[in-house]
Amino acid sequence: MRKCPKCLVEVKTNRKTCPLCGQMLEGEGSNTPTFPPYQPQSKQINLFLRITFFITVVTGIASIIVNALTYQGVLWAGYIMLGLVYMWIIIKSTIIADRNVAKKLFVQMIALSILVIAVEKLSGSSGWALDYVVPLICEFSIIAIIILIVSKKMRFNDYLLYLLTTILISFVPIILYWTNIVEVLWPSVSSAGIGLVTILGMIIFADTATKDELKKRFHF
Amino acid sequence: MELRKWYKLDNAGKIFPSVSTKSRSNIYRLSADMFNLVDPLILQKALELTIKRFSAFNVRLRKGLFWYYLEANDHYPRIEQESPSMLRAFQSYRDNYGFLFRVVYYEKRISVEMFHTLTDGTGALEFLKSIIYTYLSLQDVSLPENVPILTENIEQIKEEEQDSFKANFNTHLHSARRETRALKYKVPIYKDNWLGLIAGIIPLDQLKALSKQHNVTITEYISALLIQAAYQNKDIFEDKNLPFNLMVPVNLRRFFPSKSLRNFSLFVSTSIDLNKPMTFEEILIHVKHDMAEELQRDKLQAHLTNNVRAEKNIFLRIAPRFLKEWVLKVAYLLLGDRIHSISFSNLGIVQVPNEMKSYIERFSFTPGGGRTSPLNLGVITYENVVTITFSTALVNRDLERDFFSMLTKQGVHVIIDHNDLEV
Repeated sequence: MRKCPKCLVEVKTNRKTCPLCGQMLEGEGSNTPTFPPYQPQSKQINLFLRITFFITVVTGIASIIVNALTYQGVLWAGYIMLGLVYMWIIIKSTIIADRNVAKKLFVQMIALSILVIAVEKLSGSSGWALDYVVPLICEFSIIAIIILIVSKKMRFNDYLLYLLTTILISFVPIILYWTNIVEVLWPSVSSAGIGLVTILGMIIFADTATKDELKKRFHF
Repeated sequence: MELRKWYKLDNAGKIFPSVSTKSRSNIYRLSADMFNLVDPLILQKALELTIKRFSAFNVRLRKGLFWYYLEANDHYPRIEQESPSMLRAFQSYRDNYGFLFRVVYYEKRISVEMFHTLTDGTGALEFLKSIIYTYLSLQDVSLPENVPILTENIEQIKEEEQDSFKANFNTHLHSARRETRALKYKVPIYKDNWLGLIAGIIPLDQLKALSKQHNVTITEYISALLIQAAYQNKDIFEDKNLPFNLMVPVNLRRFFPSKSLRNFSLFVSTSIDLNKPMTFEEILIHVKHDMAEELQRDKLQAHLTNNVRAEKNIFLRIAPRFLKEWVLKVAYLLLGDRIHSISFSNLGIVQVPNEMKSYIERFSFTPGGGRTSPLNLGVITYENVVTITFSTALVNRDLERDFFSMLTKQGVHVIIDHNDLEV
């Protein structure tokens, strides 16, 4: 073992200087390092994603400029921007993330709902996004999660929280009808209906595992 | 469908999932240096067998609407070769098959890197000892069955999974403890969240003789040495008029009956104004006085009760988890990292059966740290070997140098072990 003449410590090392004070060490050292040597951490940069992001930004800016210079009463750049943002939601949350499928469905449900509402507002039309499309998206989400649960029985409890939140959201259209924001009744009623039926089904078919899962998720 | 066992986080463990980051992993390491090279295949087998005995660690972290919780893990844990950057944070809580600890090996060393949410040093030490016991038995070492080690033969009891903070909660007590902001460092820290490790390997009898000379405990003696080293290196600290706070975690199992394998420790502190010069003798008296003051059962219980009371606050409880995370982050900054200049944790003496002693050379305990609390010290004793381990994010090593020099100047034999520091 080497020795530091200044600190008077022995050092388990194959280096020449004292790790404490930097003095030259005396004596012969063992050459077996006691810890794995430092390796610079490779920075994980996904080049493909960066290029895609760059193209997205350039496309967005270009369409805004062209739209502004050739403006003829239509804000078509807005649709392009919406499309680009939605594309990134798909990339980030649906393709890249390795989260559970129910969560991906949930993110899609929210993102699509916002997308159609935004398109409706942008196009100046009305009476279709909240009236028809959003309730339909809710229904599809609930049915999709139920299919997931039925087909992969083992992981039922992992989907429970998303199913509950989706059901909660499926009641939003009918509340909006009640407050006169939505004018057509039947899609909202069917969305809320499917939600209600699912809840009833859960209560009736709930086993101890489900109750246990609820207890875990909601303990406070 | 089988029910997965689940646990609420214990009172101390509740904060860590919300406040841990890449630069502050809240992971610490307990290692055992063996006399022989580690056999990874047998170690893997030993881990798989041992984890069954430790249900409270065989879990993954899950998100509830109001709190995180721990749920039985369907996977089995895998050992890893030691990474150069020790105590690195988990990429996500899904990383590592969801386990909140790593069992790593390097040459002759077996280590457990433990996320603080699961347990404190005492619990992790029980786990490491049990892994080594199983590891040795799998190598056909004949070991006695009746040992003070939690093996398969000893039945798991409910108390091992207890939140002992809650069990020792006493509504009538109120703590008057005030936390003060502490002096921090101004010297640069390593990049890439690197932590340096500088360990001093010291004979117990020599250290014991020194502390006895001054009529103090080893913990008090090391605390005084640390403070003295801080006095000698005032230039590495900020130029602020703040006290140097030395935080010492206390194993509450010493004061309250508990068999819990989960967190059950609390910080006590001693505080010094580095601008007021003190002799070493005066520092010793000061430390001794503070320790005697703080280490009273009633006082600790009052402090513990305060912590449990904070958790039981109805507004905190009903806040959704994402809101809670902000609150906990701020609380941790103000009441966690900001109040200590350095922490010093002494895990005491490791007891293993005699038959195991010819296989284990020494134990060491490496505390975690990071940007917001860069310098920490962990001490553990095994046979006649005290291992004093600094884990440091600071590039500067003056404080460590002076700390160990003070020992060598008094004739103590110090061997320094360190990781790759030239980063």
